[in-house]
Amino acid sequence: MTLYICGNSHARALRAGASALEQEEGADPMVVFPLGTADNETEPFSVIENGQVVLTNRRFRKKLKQYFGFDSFAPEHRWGICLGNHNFRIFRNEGWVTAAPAWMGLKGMTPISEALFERIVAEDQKHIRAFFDQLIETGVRPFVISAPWPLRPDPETSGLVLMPEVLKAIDTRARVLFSEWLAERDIAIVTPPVETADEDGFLKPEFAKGGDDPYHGNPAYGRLMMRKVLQHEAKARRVVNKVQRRA
Amino acid sequence: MQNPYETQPPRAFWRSAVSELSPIEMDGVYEPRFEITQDMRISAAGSCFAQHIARQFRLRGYTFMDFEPAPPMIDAKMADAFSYGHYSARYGNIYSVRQLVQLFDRAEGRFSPQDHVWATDGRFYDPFRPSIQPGGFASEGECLLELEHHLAQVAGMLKQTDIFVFTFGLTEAWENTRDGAVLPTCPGTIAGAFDPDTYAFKNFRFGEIIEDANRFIAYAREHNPEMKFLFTVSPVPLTATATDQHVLPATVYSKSVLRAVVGELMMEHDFVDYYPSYELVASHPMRGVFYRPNMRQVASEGVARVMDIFFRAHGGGEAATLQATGAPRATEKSDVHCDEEVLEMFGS
Repeated sequence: MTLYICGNSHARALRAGASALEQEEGADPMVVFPLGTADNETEPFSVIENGQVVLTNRRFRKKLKQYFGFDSFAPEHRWGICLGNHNFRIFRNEGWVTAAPAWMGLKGMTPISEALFERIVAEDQKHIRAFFDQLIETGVRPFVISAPWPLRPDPETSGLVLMPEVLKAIDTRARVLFSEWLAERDIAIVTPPVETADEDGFLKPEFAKGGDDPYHGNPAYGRLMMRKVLQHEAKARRVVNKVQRRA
Repeated sequence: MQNPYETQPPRAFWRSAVSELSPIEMDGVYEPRFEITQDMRISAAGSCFAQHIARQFRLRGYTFMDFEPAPPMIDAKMADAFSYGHYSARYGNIYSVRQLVQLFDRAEGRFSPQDHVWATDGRFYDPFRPSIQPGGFASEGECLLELEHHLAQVAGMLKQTDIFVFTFGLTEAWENTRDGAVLPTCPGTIAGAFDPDTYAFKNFRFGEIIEDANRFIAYAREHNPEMKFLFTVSPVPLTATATDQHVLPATVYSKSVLRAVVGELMMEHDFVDYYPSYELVASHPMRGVFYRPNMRQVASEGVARVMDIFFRAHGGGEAATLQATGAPRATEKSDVHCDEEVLEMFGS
């Protein structure tokens, strides 16, 4: 069964990683392409039409057709979706210079309560979450491929001026919230490989795209991540086969 | 020699000022005692009706002070749900002047009430603003950190205020009998638990309110000796009374006392003005037309009229469109956040 992987621009590193694995190890067939940048997630981008999810975002729709040959997401296909955990959108807000998650207990900063933070994350992800709900409603059983760990903030390259520990607290909690949301729907998520993170949980420079890119992983990251994705898939298939044999 | 009535203007006579006019034609109900200009720093607190006033100052380009603004990473809808931007800080409804005085006492470290945090069903609430955080805080620590931040913002408020706007809401309140702390809601309604050994009903009397108001005025003018005060009385009746009276006479008592208090303060201080929003909505010549069908909540038409008259008298700002008032039309749900509305749930 062909594995299809699409998503935002983080899927580029996955594509590079998938190519490397196919060449090196003869991995099972897969099609991996980004549909567009994460900016496209800030507007509704999908609806259900005739019982299947179609993309209403023009760029996304065009790429789905161009690279995958589909107009919609069909339940018989296996989809890995690289959307979610792109928390750069949340922590790039300059408000985090004077505000901090309340659970950090930082004095002198505007505390952002857990409940308010949950709303911020839900608001940021609302179109992604709608998309996943639509996929489930139409019988597609996707799994999620997370965005990489955040890079340590560097005001010169990323423009991020918040404290690294604040960024990390935001990102960590946002990832937990997204995972919990997915778990409620029985959607699995493949998280970034631990070896790509430094001791503070930031993406190691050798796995970052580099230059002034503030959040993308490079092909080396993509290779490790895709290996994890394929391991997840192999395990998922074993479970499916076992269930089918029992049936 | 003319008698004094002969020189009085038409607005002084009931027939020409009221009987011969429809409620919307009535004019000259308010003549400002002092000018309020757009560069004056205005802060506001009070019962839920004060939210309309705060919103209108902001919409019409006045320097409305917000000492605890919504964090920039949240949108307007979220900010509203979490009680940002309703008043000049995130203190929620302040129904009595005693509560107002105690707020500043707490902010400046003169009063540390026994009620710190209420725990209800695993969530944590600030007893003095129990509804600012939908569903409460996740932990006691979070609640206290938010409180510390809030009081720090309130502490800096008065010295940066030229006009303090306060809407008197209720005479009825709940008090912790151990330290006299006045709460905006009865424990056990929005949060907390009612304990008759700790909490007692308090129906403030004229003398007490005057004393509290004068204490607040003196205290505020210590921070800014030029501060002026604009007082209003909320036209919103009691949702429920804790007295043994019918809610209607209980409401009339409450509003009458508050109205008399403001009249007295105005006579006592030339830097106090009263804006008759109460009369413009609740008095009998208005025939109740500015209320929603429940005769309690003020409809957008009423808010628009009240605000138009106010700002016209001050020669500034555009007319309050119904949309801009943010108040509900006759069939809409209330848009302002009123803690006492929770009492509806306890009625049969």
